[in-house]
Amino acid sequence: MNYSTLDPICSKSSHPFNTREVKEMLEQLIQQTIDQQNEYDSNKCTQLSKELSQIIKDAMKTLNYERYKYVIQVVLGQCQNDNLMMTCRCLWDIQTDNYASYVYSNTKIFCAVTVFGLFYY
Amino acid sequence: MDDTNDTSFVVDEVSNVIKESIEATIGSQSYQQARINTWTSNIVEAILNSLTKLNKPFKYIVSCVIMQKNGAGLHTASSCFWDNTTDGSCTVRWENKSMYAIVSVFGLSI
Repeated sequence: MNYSTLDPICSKSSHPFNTREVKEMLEQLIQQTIDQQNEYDSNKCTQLSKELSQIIKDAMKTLNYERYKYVIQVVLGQCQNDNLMMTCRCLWDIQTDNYASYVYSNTKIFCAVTVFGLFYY
Repeated sequence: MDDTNDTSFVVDEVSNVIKESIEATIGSQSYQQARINTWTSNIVEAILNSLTKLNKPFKYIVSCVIMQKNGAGLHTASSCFWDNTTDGSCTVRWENKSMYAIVSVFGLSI
């Protein structure tokens, strides 16, 4: 007998993605990592953006969301006028999937991080 | 019968979808502060609609960054915790004389 893998009882996560919890974690991590940067340095920022995305991915694993896949996006740039717009759209299941984002900026650098959590059926 | 195309993320196909959407929306335009909100929304929505028409069993995340060419530096990085055999991503960097556009699409199989 075949049971649908999208059976509503099985498909809901017992520990759904909590935006507030993830956002608090992001604030902490970003402030620890970027607060030390007083100047924009191209080479350092290349390395920093990659490191930050890895650090956040590892931190997401410690939050123990069962059966969730993660996509972490880090955008790091130099503050020079208001000249940047970032937009996102998703095609997903609104009952199980969600995202958390945090934007940090000082006079020299801005950093926008978004974490998406998608439930795997 | 080869059904890997139906269940895996095909980067080339998605890359073409992205390029077409960018060209159609801002291909001939110069940077205008008042319009970038509409442009980024139109680009991501057009891409999402095209991806839906591919009829694949995927959840999608589409993100678009438009930046004026002013000499400022920008870095983007992403890391993903997923199934490497079925999931994938595609990032396209596009530019004209007045602006840069960076569009990323992530596809996660269900």
